[in-house]
Amino acid sequence: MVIEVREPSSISHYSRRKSPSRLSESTMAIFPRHSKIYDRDTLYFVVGTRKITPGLEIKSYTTSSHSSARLFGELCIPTKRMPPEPMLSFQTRQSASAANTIPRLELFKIKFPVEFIDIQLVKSLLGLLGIEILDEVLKLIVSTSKDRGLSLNKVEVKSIRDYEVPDWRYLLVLLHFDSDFETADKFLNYLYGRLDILSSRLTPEKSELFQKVFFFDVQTTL
Amino acid sequence: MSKPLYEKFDPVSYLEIALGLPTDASVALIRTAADRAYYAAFLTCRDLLKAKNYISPQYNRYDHETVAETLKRPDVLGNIGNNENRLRRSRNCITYDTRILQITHNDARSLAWMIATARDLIERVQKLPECKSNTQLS
Repeated sequence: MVIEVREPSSISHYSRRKSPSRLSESTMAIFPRHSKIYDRDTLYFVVGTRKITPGLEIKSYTTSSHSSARLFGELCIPTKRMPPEPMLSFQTRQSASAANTIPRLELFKIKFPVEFIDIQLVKSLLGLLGIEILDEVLKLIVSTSKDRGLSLNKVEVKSIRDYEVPDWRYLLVLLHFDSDFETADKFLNYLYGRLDILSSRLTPEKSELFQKVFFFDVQTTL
Repeated sequence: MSKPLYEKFDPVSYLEIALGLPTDASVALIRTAADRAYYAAFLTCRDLLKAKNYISPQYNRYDHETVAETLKRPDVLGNIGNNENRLRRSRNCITYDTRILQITHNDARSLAWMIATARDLIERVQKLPECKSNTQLS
């Protein structure tokens, strides 16, 4: 799975905000507080196998758990360019080599892109519960599109602030297909049934959040 | 009592406007029809949900949120209620964006899709039973 982030500053903010001590079994990589290891053009990809603390310490750990909360925390390894000093001093060769490859996370067994438009807004809208729901929803979308043999290019996730209704914000999960609209629309209507089943398995709290916040649509290329 | 400016009406009749377009209709008429198709769905669903005791609408812009969320409730339409939000975003695009609209680049959908989706939503909400539990959204 590859996650593109268009707003690197939000990641840095998130990384600083979270204390490593609160991430007991985390796969989160924490940037040193004052290091300049990215710029506005840098994309960040999930690699998620190392923990880099502000003390320049590298710890290996397992990635047995795959929650989305962790997934968000993993968006910290720059890929398009090598980071300048002092990041190089503790960046492993493995991480550096990931710069030119498409790293994978075990979250999904197939390579699959999810694009977040302003991830900070998405996180603030969803909270931890919502992020966990999003994780399940994304898995369901990927597996269902695979089952149906559809070419799903990517999933775009963005927080929508309604311009007409004050204070109404919701999450739009936009499925990009290499197909015509009718095919994609048919798929989405099929997916509704699967989402209903997923919703019925959620806790009441999550189910209500899902119902109120998650909205879906398709975008096509033909 | 003076004569009302506008009589009470059934918003499903907006669909008749959309369906009554001539084949050589102008772009303005086609866009207006698409806009009315959305409002036929939204207003009819809102009024039916009110009549069946699912919601207490305010009859203003806040109802958009209430209807969108209520339709997605498991005891209402479930996730297929999501199509109301798709209609709305498409309507916004068609009404406000005067440029060329492409299905591959915009939220805009065809008039045929708008009408079919609006009809489907209305029919589904018409079939709903009355809500007996006290689960109205404010």
